[in-house]
Amino acid sequence: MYTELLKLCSFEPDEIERERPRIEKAFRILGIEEEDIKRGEQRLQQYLDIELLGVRRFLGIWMRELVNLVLAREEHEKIVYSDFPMELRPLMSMMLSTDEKKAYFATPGQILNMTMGQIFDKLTPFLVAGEENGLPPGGAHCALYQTRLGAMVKGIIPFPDLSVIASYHCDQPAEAEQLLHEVYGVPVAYLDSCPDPNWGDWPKFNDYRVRYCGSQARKMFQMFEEVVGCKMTDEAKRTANRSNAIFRLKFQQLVELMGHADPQPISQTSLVHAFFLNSMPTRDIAGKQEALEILCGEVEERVNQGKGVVEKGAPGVFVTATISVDPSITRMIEQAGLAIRIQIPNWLSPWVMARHPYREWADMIGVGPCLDIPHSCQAHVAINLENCKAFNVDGAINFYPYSCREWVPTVMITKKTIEKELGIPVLVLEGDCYDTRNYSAGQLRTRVETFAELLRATKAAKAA
Amino acid sequence: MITAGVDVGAATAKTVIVADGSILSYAVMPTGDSVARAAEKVTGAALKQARLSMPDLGFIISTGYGRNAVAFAHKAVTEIICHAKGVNFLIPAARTVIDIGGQDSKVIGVREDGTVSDFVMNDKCAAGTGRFLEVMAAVLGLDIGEMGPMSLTSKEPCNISSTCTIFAETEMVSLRADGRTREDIVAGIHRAVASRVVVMGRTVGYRQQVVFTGGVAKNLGVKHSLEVGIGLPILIPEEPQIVGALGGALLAIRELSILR
Repeated sequence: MYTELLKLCSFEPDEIERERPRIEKAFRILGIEEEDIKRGEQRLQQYLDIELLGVRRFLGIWMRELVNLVLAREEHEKIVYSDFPMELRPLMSMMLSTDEKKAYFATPGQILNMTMGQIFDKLTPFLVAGEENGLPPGGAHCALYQTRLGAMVKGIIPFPDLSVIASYHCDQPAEAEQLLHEVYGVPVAYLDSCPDPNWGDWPKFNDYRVRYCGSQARKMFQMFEEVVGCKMTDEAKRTANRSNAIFRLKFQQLVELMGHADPQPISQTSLVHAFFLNSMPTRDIAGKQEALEILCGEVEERVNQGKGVVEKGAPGVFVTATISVDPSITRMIEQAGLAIRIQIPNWLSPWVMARHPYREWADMIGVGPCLDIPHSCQAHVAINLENCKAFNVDGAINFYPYSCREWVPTVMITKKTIEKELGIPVLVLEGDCYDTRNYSAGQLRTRVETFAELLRATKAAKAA
Repeated sequence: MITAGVDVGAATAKTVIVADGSILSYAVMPTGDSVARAAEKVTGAALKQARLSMPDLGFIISTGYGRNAVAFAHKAVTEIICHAKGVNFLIPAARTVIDIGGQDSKVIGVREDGTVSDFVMNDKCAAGTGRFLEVMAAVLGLDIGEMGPMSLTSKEPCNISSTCTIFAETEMVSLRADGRTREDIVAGIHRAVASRVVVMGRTVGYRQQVVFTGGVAKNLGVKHSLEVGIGLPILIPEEPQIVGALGGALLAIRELSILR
């Protein structure tokens, strides 16, 4: 019943046959039934550029990780979890210091979001279980952490032997993982920092912050070595750093290619799978790099052919929503006739990369994966503004995700700043990155369609 | 050139028929449990009044929450765009629209040509909408139509501190137990609704002329509280409920011209 779905996720027939017992076992534990498979196939075709091999390859990576995650306890000696906003490189360094049999590394919240959320639209039972077991509704808890806790307490994914969590710009990982430690006895290693720059500090980083974060990282690695029983190796660190740099730079090229193309060649929803691999450790390093190379080639071909998913000459927007669970929001914006020039700005913007060339990776942990958000609100606003300039957009849609500590503080400041500095309109769109129960498509559609009309009228007036 | 606008909102459905640039007929009725049925019925009523039938309508634009469920409409346009257009037709000097409907509220900036310059919308919380007034009217045992005139006789409006409909409902009970008059309580309710909208609309800004539309615009108590809140006089069209549908019918004229 799942063959067609897995083919859409780039599984070859022999792989499906070989992996059948594992897949069936994992799907049974996950409660994936025939109607879920059908819904999944329909959603992939509805929301993604599924005809592109690069997109299918990325989906395959996530789907394989879902199976690996569910079966991790019986296939590995040790399990280490992390999740956003943890930096990828320390995670990968730890992972590559162990062999595959020894330890399984994952960001379970992200895996569940990308598969059970985006593909199967079946995340609510995990969220409810998370709410019932320590992260209650009404407490503005992050749904990413509700999901992973819910999946653990439901027995769908195993509890880890170690949780490695960064809390330098959001209290939720620390709060949720303290619960995991206190109630379920899971050892937790925290990567902390002191995010207290002054307004005006950006783009300078406080050396004390970096040093503090570096010392926290050393403690984290010590704990990893004690719990997992492996030594961190320099070779693992080098490999993690190198592969991460190669992937990010290629992804940055793709983002730029998309942002400067007219018409917009593919939906931005088709980029999220690659994007979230910037923070999810997978041992399939070659696979993800190959998928990215393929996707870049396919997008370039579309650009050369002048093919697009949005009408040529459509108003271009900058959107701050990188939503893993619900692809309908991004598609709604595109279907309203707006070309999303850039949606994935903060981690990989050329502007940031130019100012912060790769330094010692310990320093990079200090400044964080997103560079701007952990630095300060000022940095966040400044980078949003720079992205609007760099991609010469006609307007911006600033996503306001409920319960997200790192995004929410700057939403209105960003709106005011962009409107004032660039004279372009900014729509604030309220929703949630991980919990679709917090908003409705109808509410968002009215805003998006009106905003699209507003931009079209403004663009036409300017042209006249 | 005969066109129609059909506005299916959360509480009421409205149809306006426009012929050669002026309103020929209109109808308003509760939406009920079926958006599609309400749209058909209200349009049927407007057609009957104008002694027309469906084939006479050259172009139909649907708007409101139910806009995508109106099968006989040629195009769906958001109510924000339609309200701006409708207000621009009725009061060309209007630059700001405050629209408070059954379950949402909006503040819309309007350009000289009737297009939207900016907007802000609340449809997540009942406070600041007609629903808030309905709930409070029920708690006080009043007909909703009585509330406006009653509040204008208040000597000392109550301070309703809760910004949530549910908590405000509890607060009503306490105020009544404290012996506050219905007039003062109702005036306080209107101030509470208005303050939510006034604060929300500050991101758009209030520029004259300010026009109040939607079903709640019939409540003079809310109008008064809004005027106090924004410090500007507010105009209300003769029939504030049909402005969105009117805007739809007017936008349909342009669509029909393009088609022809």
